[in-house]
Amino acid sequence: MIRAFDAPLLRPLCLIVAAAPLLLAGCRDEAETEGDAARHRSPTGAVARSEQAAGDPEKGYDALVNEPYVSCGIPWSAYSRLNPDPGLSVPGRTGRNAELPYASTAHVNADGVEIVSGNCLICHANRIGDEVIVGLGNEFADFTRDPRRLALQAANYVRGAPETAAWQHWADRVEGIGPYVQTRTVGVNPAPNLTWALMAHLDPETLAWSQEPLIAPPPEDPIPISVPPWWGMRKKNAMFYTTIGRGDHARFMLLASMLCIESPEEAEAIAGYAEDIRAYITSLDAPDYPYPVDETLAARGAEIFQRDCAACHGTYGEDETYPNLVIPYEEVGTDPTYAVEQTDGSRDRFYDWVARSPYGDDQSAAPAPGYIAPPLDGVWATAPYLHNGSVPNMAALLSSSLRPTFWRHRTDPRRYDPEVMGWAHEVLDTGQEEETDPDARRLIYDTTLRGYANTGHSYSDDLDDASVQALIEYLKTL
Amino acid sequence: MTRRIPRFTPFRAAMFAIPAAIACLALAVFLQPGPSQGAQEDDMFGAADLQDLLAAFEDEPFARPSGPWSVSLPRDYGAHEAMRGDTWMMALHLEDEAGTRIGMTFGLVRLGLRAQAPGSQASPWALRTLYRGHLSLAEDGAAALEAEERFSRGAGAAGADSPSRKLWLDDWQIDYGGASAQEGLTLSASANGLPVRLHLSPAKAPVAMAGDDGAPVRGFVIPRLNVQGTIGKAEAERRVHGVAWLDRLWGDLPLPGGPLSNQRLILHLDDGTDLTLLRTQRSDGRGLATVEGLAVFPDGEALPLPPDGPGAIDMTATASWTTQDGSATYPVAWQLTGPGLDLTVAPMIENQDPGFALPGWIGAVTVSGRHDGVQVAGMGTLQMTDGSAP
Repeated sequence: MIRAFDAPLLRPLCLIVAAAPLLLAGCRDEAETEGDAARHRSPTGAVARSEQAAGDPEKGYDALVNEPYVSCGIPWSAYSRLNPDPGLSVPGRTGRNAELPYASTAHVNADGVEIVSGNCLICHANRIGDEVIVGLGNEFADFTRDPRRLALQAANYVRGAPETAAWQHWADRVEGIGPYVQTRTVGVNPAPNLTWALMAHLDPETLAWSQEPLIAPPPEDPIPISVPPWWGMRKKNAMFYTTIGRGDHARFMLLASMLCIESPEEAEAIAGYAEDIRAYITSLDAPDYPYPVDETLAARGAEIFQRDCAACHGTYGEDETYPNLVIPYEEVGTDPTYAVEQTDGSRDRFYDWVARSPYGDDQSAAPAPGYIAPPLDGVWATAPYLHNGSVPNMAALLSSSLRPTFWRHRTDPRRYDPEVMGWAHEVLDTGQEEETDPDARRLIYDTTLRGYANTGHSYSDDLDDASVQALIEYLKTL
Repeated sequence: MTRRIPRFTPFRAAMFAIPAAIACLALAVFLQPGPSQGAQEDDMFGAADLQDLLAAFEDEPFARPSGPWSVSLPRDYGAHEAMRGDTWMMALHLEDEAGTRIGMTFGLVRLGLRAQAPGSQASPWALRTLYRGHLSLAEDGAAALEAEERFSRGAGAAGADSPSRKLWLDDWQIDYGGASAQEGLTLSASANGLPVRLHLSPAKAPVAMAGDDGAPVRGFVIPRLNVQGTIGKAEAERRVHGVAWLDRLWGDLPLPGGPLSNQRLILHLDDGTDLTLLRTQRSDGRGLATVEGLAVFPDGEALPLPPDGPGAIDMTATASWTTQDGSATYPVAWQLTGPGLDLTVAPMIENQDPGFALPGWIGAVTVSGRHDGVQVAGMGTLQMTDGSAP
C-alpha cells in the first residue's frame, strides 16, 4: 500500500515575506506618565479629517504591483524551483513580475541577486470566482504556521555567497518576527503583532536591525484581525479599527516596507511613490454585487437601514455621508481584547517608536478605546464580519443567535452564498481543544479563544425575519 | 511516539534533501581542477568555487517532475534521465554469524550537467553527466570505518540501463532485475578491496511523496528491507543478515552548498518500528532548528512526525566528536524524546568521518530506550553534512 503525501515545500513561501504591517495598534508603557498616555490616545466619537497629499493613482497602481517596497525575500533561483506555478495575476505587471503570482514582486538587489518578495496584495487582494479583487482583504490567508520553518525550507535551493547573504537578510527578519505572527486559525491576520515585533528589533531613527530586541516585543499570541477593504479609505479619516493611522496616511503606509528596511534613505525612496499608492487606494470603488437583487425588497431594507444603521455607518447613494465614528468597545460589545490591549498602556512603547521614526508623529498611533463603524461599500464581498472575522456571514451578523461558536470555511472550492451574504461554512460541534490533528485544528474558527469572540453588534436582533431579509437585500446594493 | 494523529499530515520533501545534499556535495569535486603545485592556500580552489562551477550548469533545461505519478516498482528503482538527478541511498544495519554488528551505507548519485535534446546525436564522450558513489562500513569494535568514494563521467563506465534493470559505477552494481517489486535489489560493491554482495527484499511497502503537487523532487522510501549476503574475500567471507532503509529520489536536486546544516537519523528498532528524523538549522548556528520525520510501524502504517505540536520529536545533542585537525565538530550522540518515545542514540565508532571529498560524518549508531512503554534497542545510521555544532 502506497502512502501519498503532499510536499509542503510548495506552500506559499512568500506568504509571510511582506505580511505588510498595514494595521497598527497601541497602548502605553507602565512606566509612563499620564501625560504620555494622553499623547497616545484619542477619544471615541468622530475622527477628524486630516489633509492628505495628492498623488497619481495610475503611478500608484504601477508602484503597488511592481516596486520592491518589501526589499528582502527568497532568491529567484530558489523561489522558481519551489513555486513554478505563475498562479493568478493582475493587470499591469511588468518584467519578471508578469511571471509571478500577483502577491509576489521581484527585483535585483545591489549584489545582483534577483529576489522575490511578498507585496501588499498578500493581505490586500483576494479572488472572487476567478477574478482577483485588488483591495479586498484576504480572508483565506494561512498565518497559522511558523514562518521560520518556511525560511529554512526555502534555503534548500539557496546557493553561493550573494544568494546566501540575501537569504540571510530575509531569514534574520523572519527569525525576529516568527514567534509573534502565528494565528490560531486560517483566515485571520496577525499584522498588528507583526508590526510591533518589527519595531522591537528596529532602531526608530536609524532603522538599523538588531537581532536582539531593543524594546520588549509584544506577547506572542497575536490578536486576530480581519483585513478591512481598501476602498473604505476613500471615506475613512483613520486607517485602522481603533483609529491608529491618523494624520499622514501615505507616510504611515510606509510601515509596509518595515520587514526588510535597512535605512531612513530606503524609507525615503519608498516615500517617493507612497503618495501615489495612497491616491490609488482612495480611487478604488467597491466591486458591484454580481448576483440578482430584488429591488423592491432592497427598497424596504433601505428604510430599515436609514432608521437603524445610518447613524454609525453613514448613508449611501447620491448624497452619501460617513460620520467616521468610533464606538466605545463597551457599547458595541464586540470582542474587546484588541481595543483594550491597544489602550491599556501595554503597547505605548510602540506608539513612541512611531513618533520617533520616519513613519509618523504623535498623532499617527493614537488609538481610541473602541472600534470604528466602517463604511459599508461593497460589504457583500467582505465576509466574514466584525473586526476579528468571527461571524461567517451577514445573516448571522444581523441575528446573533445564528452565530456559530465553532465553524470553518468550506473550501476546495470556496463558494459564495448569496442567500446569507458570506462564504459557505460548516458549523462544528466542538472547538480547537477537542481536535487533535493540528492540520484540522488550524481550520477551526473557535470563538471561545481569546480575541476570537463573536459577541456584540446585536442591534438588529429585534428585527423580524422579513426585515432582516430586506436589510440584507439592501446591503447587496452598497 | 504513538499514533495519535489519525490522518496523514504532509510528508516533507525536505526529508530527502540530506542524502541528496551529501551526495551532491561530494560530486562537486569532480569538477575541481585542483590547486597547482606550490599554490598558496589562499589561492586554492575552494568550496565556493566549486559551487560557482556547478552553478554554471544550474539553468540547463532538465525536465521537472510533473503530472500524475504513483510509485511503481521495479520501474522507479531505475533512473529518470530526463531529470537533473537521481539518488539511491541505502542505510544497512547488519550482523554477522558471530553476532558482530556492522553498519553500512551505500550511495549512488547521477547528476545531469547538460540536458540532452530529443534526437540529438552528441558525442558519447561529451561531459553530460556525473556519477558519484560511496560505500562505508563500520564494524562494532573497529577503530575506524572502511570507506570508499568513486566518481565517473558515465560514458559506459557508469550508467543506468532500464531495460536490463541495472545501475553501475565501475564494478559497483545495483541489479533490480526481479519481475516483481518484492524481489528487491542486489548490491555488489566494495570498500577498499573488501567485497560486499547483498540482496535486499522489501519487508514493508514504499512510502511515497505525492505525485501531482509540483514539487521539484519526487521519490519514495522503503523503510525496511530484509538483507542477506556476504562481506569479505573468499577465505575471509562472512555471511551477514539484517535490515536496510532505501531513499530514492529524482528531479531538480539541490546543488552542493547552501546555508543549512542537516543531521539525518535512520533507526530500525527491534519492535519493528522504523524511524527517520531530519534536523535542519542554519549553518551559522542562528535561529530556529527544525526536526521533522517519519515513523513507519510494524504493520507498514506511516506517520509523518510534525515539526511542532503534540506529535513532535525533540532531538538533543548529548556528545560531540572533533576531527583530529580540529576543523569540524560533529554532534555524534543524541537523545530523542517525544510522545511515547525516549531513545538514546550513540555512535558505534566515534570517528566515522569517511574522508570523502567534502566534509561530513556518515556513520553507524546504536539506539536504546523506550517506545510506547516497552524497552527497545536497535541500530541506525547518522548522516551529517558539515561540522557545525547544533
